[in-house]
Amino acid sequence: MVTLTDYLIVGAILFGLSLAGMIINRKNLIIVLMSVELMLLAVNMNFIAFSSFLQDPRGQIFVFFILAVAAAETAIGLAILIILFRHRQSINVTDLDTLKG
Amino acid sequence: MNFTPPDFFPAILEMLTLGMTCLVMLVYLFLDQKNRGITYFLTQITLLGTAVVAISLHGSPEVITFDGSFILNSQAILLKIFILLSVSFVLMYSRTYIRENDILHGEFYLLVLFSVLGMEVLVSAYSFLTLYLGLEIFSLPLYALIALKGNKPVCQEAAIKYFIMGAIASGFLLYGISLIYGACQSFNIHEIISMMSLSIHTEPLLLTLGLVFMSAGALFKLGIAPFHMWVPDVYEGSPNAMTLLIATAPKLAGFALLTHILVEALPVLFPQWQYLLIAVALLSMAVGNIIAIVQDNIKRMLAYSSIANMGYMLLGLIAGTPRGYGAALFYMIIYVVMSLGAFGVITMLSRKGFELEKVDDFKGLNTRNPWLAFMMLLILFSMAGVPPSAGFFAKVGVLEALVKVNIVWLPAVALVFAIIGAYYYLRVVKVMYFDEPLEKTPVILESFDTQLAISINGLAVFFLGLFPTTLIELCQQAFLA
Amino acid sequence: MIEKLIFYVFAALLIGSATMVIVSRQSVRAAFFLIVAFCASAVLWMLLSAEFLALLLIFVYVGAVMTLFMFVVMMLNLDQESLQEKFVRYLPFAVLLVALMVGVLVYAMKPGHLGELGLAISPHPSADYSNTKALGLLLYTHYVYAFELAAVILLIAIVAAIGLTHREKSRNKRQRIDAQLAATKADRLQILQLEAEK
Repeated sequence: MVTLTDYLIVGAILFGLSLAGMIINRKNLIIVLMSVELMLLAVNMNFIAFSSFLQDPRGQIFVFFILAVAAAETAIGLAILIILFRHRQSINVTDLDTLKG
Repeated sequence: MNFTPPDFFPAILEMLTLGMTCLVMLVYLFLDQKNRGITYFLTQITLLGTAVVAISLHGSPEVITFDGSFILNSQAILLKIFILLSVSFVLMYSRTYIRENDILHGEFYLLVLFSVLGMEVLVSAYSFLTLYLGLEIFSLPLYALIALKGNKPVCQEAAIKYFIMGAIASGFLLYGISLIYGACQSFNIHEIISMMSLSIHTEPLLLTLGLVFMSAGALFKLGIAPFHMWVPDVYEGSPNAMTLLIATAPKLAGFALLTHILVEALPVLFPQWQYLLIAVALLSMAVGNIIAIVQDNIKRMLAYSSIANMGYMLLGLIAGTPRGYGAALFYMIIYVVMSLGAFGVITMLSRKGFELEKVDDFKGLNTRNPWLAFMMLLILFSMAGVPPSAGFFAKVGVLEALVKVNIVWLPAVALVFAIIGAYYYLRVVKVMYFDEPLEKTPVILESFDTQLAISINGLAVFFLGLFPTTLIELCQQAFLA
Repeated sequence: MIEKLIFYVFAALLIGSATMVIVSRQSVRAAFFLIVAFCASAVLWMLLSAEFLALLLIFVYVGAVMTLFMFVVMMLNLDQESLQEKFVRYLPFAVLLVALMVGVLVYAMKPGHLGELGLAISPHPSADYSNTKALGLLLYTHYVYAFELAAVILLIAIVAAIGLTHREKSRNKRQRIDAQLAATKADRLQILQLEAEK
């Protein structure tokens, strides 16, 4: 049978991939935003797996709120991206060199 | 299914803030262009009114409601009072700036109010769910606020940086919460505590990992090394009024986030997080104080100073005693009062088309506006920790708490860094008083309330240094219950 | 057995498409792979009998959020070529860091470290169990405070997104007196030192 460990490992790998995505795609902000989505997906996977194996629907309630917040977060992130693009004509992070870091 | 409706009264501050925010939104929409200044006054009424209600609630017994996801105790009330007051001061300082720089002020005040609401929610959170929601409600408006100033690309750059760092922070926080949920079978803080005291169902490895991920998220939010990279960039890139905002009240909310996780939910793991915090505190003090010395940009300098100050605050938590937690809270409040003043002066000196950024822009401030220079002097002395300023007592408090639990080497190292740190604050004092001004024109503050605010702010730093006892006792009580 | 098969097929699909999201160089392609990843994880959530959330993921994420992403990608019409260089620079660092972290996590999630849960088989609720009903009962009673806060978050998103992207008509040619007064000789007049022609 599929055990809890299997689901959690999928979650862990997803989390790792999303982090890697943020590091290697520092150039393309849209993909960085997508990596954020992947990170939240990994978290949701953990919550649902625990919730299902614990037979406790409260974990799924948490996921419900994460989904709601993530949608709002994406909307704001993309809005910032759009005005950034309006002024820069680029979302390439290497062009964003005004700040030192 | 039996369900009794929860007691809504403890959430009165949040309900007041939210109700007034909606009112401000409607009023703003139906006003014509000329009368929109009213939104400023309505926002101030909201903040100060809520603060008055919060003060009247102080001293009432601890209440937990909404099925254990909301707590109102003296610590939460104290933090809320200071959050509300500091945001009110922020708005007084930045009023002229907002008007002159054509920032859409309806949106500005609305987002500020939403952010305040989020901070209140976060401070009162007693379950990881409300903790997370509060964190997002207070951060999302801040990302938008930084980008709101339409025509400066550097602001949007700062905003997107802040946004991505914030998103990663909440990702880490959530991953940690999910592990703790798996280990403790709950994300309500009081259930986690009772689960831990049973300690049969909890899994040590999952818990420790959960702790690490959650604290990484919280440290990210507070801008503590090694998660500090975004702080100087965001402080520098944001318009001065927004730097003022993100450098003050959110620090108090971040403190609440950290104490909710470490002190309230996971005190059992104290030996683990003590080591973690010692490492990050040392790193923060070193990075903050040393890199701040070479900064020419005053906003970057104060950003590194904030990293160092967060390191000092952690010393109080490392002590692990109620006395230490109280000292950390006192440190945090004093820090916020000081940086409110410092960034307030920076914002006030900025004019349309001129952002005060360089340390050199402070040259000869004494001849241009002696009173403002004197206030800045008080604040900088306090930041440097010169006795008998408030900053001095704040530092003494955290160091003393550490010595009380027989950790002596850490305070000694912290002291060395404090002396290094004093240099760059005093450099600004020297520039203000002994250098020739770049432009001779005197600085005139137009509005009376701004002048009053900075005077109160500067003198507060001075008098809190002379009579710190009351506030220290309030902070201590907050953790003794 | 069939459950196991479904799990492995969709878990592999999920991880594969997640990898493709982060290595694609074109935003459109990454967005498509993200959709695949969402669909695959919806199937996994179904296996865990979280039907409501699985459907929510499809409706809200694939239906709305990803559309938003696609819309932005199309609207910005990015210059693809310029995004390609220097992709590898951070790769070794990223791989090392991530491998280390995933290794620790996977070790921590061995059945032995999960207590009694580690040995449990995935539960199959009875036929009359309604996931949606169970969530609804909790959501509107015990989590009413959180529910209201979620509403606030959506309101913030509306205000912020409109405030950020809304442009007031700035076409009117108004005299900017402050700019005129602040202008100095250096702004308007540039003196070039030209080499004398020989």
